[in-house]
Amino acid sequence: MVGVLRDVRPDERGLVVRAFAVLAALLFSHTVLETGRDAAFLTRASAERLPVVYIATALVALGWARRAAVVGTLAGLRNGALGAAAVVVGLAILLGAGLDVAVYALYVASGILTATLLVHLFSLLGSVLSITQAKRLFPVIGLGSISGALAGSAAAAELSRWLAPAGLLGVASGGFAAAGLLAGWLPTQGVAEHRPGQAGWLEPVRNLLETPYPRRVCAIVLASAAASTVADYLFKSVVADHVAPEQLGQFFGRAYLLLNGLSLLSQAGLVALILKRFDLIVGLSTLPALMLLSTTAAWIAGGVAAALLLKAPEGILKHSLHRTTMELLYVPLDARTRGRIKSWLDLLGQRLGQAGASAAILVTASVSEVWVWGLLLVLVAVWIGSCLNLRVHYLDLFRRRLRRGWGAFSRPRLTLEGLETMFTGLDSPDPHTVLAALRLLEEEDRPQVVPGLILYHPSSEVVVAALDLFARTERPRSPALIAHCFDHPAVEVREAAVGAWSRLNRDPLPDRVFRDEAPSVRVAAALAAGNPVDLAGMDRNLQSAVARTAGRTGRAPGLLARLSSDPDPLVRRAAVEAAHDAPSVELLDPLIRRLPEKRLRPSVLRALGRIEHAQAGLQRALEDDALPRLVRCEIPEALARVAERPEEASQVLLSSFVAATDGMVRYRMLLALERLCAEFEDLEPDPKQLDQAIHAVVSRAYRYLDRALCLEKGARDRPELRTEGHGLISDTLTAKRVNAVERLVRLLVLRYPRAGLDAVKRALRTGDKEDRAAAIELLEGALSGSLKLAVGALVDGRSDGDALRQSGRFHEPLGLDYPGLLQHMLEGGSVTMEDLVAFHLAELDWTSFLPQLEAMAARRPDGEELSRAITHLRARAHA
Amino acid sequence: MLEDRFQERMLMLRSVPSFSAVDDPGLAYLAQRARQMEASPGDVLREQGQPSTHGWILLKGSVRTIRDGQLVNVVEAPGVLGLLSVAARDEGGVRAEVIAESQLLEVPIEATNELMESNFSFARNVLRNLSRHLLDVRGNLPARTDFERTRPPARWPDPMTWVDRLRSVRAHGVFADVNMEAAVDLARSTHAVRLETGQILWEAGDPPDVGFRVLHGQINCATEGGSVRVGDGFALGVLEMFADIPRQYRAQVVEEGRALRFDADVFLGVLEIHPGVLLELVAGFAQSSLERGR
Repeated sequence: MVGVLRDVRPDERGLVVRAFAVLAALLFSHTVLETGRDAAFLTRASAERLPVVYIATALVALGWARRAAVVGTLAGLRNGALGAAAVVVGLAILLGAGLDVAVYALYVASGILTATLLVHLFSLLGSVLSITQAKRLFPVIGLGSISGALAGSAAAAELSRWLAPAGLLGVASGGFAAAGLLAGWLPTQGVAEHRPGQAGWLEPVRNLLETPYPRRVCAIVLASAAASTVADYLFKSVVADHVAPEQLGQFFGRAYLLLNGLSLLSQAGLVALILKRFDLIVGLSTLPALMLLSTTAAWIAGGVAAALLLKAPEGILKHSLHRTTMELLYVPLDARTRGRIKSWLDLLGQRLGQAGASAAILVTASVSEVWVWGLLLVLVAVWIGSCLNLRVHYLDLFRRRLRRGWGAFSRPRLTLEGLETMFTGLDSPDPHTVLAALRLLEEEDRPQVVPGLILYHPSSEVVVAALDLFARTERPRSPALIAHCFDHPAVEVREAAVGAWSRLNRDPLPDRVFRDEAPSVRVAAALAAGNPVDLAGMDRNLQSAVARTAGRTGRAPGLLARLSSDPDPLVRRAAVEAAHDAPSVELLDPLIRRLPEKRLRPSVLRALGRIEHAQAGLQRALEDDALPRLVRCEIPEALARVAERPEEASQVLLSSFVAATDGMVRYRMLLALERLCAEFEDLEPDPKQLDQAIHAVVSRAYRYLDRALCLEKGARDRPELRTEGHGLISDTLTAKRVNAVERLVRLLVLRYPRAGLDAVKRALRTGDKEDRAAAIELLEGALSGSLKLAVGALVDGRSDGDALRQSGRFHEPLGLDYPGLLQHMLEGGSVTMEDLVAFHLAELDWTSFLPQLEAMAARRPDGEELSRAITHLRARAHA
Repeated sequence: MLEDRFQERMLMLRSVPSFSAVDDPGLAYLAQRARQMEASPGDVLREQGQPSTHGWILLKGSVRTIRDGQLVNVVEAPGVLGLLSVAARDEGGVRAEVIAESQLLEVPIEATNELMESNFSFARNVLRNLSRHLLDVRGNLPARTDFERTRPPARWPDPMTWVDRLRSVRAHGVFADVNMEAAVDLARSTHAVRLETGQILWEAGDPPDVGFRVLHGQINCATEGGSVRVGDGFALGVLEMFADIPRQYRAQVVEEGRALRFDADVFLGVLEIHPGVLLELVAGFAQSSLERGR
């Protein structure tokens, strides 16, 4: 009970108390009303007239369902409850006046009023609460239902000794009025507007039939109502066979008291427990699964005990777990659909299920009671099947919500029409379009369709790009076409033509190229002819020309490697861009070292992509701790870009992820894995490795959370500890936890690729309340056991203290005081935390930490912050 | 149907110079989400005050934007429409009205938001274009808020450890409120430097390889057309760094002091792994652009 109440967060208490009170008042009134109704009916009419009122109720419900379709508004609930009070008072007056027809009207009204008001109440709550809130709060609010019903039974039993049926109706009317007044306190924020008359008669039915989710909810409603009816029939018939008629009243009284008591306990503890540890579908399937077992056992055993066994699951769970999980099924629907479907199913579906079951009982019982038992087993099996079948559609509701506007992306294959488009692009007067078409054709591996006449294009940029494309792809072209470019007015075209000529023709370069007026063309020609070039005397432009020609001709990779490390950024850029045209394993290491340079990176990646064995080289580099940190940060993405053996790359990335101590490098590995999986749709990283990585990240997130809690508690107890350093540590721990959770979600997306989690990370970060709830529901739908609890607690916005309690096998709570925590963080192995703690210790003048800081400084002599803290603390110690 | 003309849309996107730095996956994502459309003079792409659901890439033609009945801008092809308001989180937006036969690609805002967060080259490209635009409207000078010291400069220890640098980075500016790990990463990669009177930080035409966060001191930034003085707390040279264009002005120290120096590649590396900071920068630059437009 306490556990259930602990799930209610401070800002939700008001809503829960009010909803509980309204629900309790409604059920109290309904129970008293039923008692008064039954007493009045049996005294004024007779039991033989009951079928008449059943039919009348069903017909009125049919008409009422349409009116009640406009539900889920506060005004509807309030006015409905006050209206119910007035109707019941009116009927009490008519009864008091001796008008017999009033008992029929009373019977029908009692069947409609409370059901409609409950639809109103839960639709309203569904509009206000997200699904994650509803899962926490409905078990508590649902206690109002059972408490109200118990209180109503007790009150009716006592009052009926003093009051006539009309008097009981007066009490019920007062209860409805109280519910109406209490409803006025319910929140209206977030409640969707409904406009009556927006839909036709058949829209809810169409919704039921056309969309898979409501259709399956309908199946559950029908199956559960029918199974309950048959189970009730069997229970009563077995009891009637074994219990003396004069003891029946006492037997049923005791049995119902016991079951209702257990139901209350179930609502107070079991419901929340099941919803927390398992998903909604498990909660929904629990009752029919238990009924399947109890029916089988009762059928075999026979007798009164068996009858009780048969009735127990339904008696205990129907108004607790089943009712709560059924209400939760409507929450993910949009307000309009929810209102319409819920009113139809709650008012009509139940009765249709009961009517169908009654007819089936009549038929089967006329053959043999064994057939009725068989009928129950079939109905329960259908019920279970409907529940299990709902899972996919239930999760799809959240996937659809998070995927509004986009879906999975895969690049379409090149079609003939696409090829024509690109070919047409080559004719464009706009050089940008022609350059784009050239690049696309190369990417699509169709460079052969680029006509040689493009070398006559008026844009020199286009001509250079075409010459480079011809050289790179080594597609022979007419020497005359290239030779024409030697006379081009643009130097860069003449220079590019030298490279293309030497790559595509065996003939020597024409003499005039060696006498070109531009030094860069002459240098290019010399290099292309195999003559040695002396870089020492060259300026940056000539060196760049050398780099470009080395690339175009595919000669002198050593020269390119050297120029790619040149101190001049212009030369480096030319060399790296040229490396794309002359891929060589010699360039591998120099290119990897250029990865941190953002302006060069696209060219580096393109060049690496053309080098044979680049994957092996990058994998080796990934494990090389001697490389600068910024280079190691870039390697994972490069590996993902060039990987030809994605499984191997994913294995290396994952094993490095678990071993890496640098958070930034780890994150880049994760991004690289994502890229790999996006690029290779069939790739599924090793689940064991992913589980290991997930475990490590969950543990890390809880470690940061626990540290932050210890830190905060220490500062709360001793406010003088709340210094600037304290703030820096606290903010860092918070940031680290946030980042760990974000990375955890990324890992889960990779681990459960078919769970549709890819939209979850964005929804958790930037989504509204409903998006976040949908994301959490999807996450929890994919997970189970302790991982589900631990991940759920990290993302569902509960308090840090509550979250830590769910850490389970992932983290042992630290339970440290402030000095103990600082000591723990100093030993944690994170340089950032070590330095921040050293700063904080110096602020606090805590000289007792001096020996430990000195020992750390001996291991890390370059730690400026450590040194400064030690100097300060030594001075304090001497003082 | 959309997939049928994917290559055509790729070609269109590749032809727009302002998208030239977006990588292949980013462009392919946009091409898949985009819808080709044509519009005639008088067509309204969006009304002011309505929620932004789409942005447009103008391939041919021209569109004017109007706020509160006043002309804000005339966008000529090739250009981008509707994304600035979204980046600036400006819910009101502008009315966009076609004034010449136009060809456009319409992109759902959700798709651009997704790209902003998941594709660094796209977000970087937006930052680059916004920075260029801001530099342009500022006459290629830093923000025109001539420095005047109103309180004594903050005194930082000398030498500064990285924790001191972290404290100063978080003292104000975009890193004051962002994820602490981003601030830590930046602080660890900065260097505290002295600013000596008369020292020239850069000349016009120099590459934009570094930026400075001025701790105290004053710097005069001058072009042939004018000058601006900046001081304590100012982030100098960042706009050109993001715009990736050579320096447009000479920066000379006129009052000695200290500054944090950060390399462009390192700063961009921090933004790459902390997209939240990048989005904050984009929002800030977009808001500045909108304010300039007003």
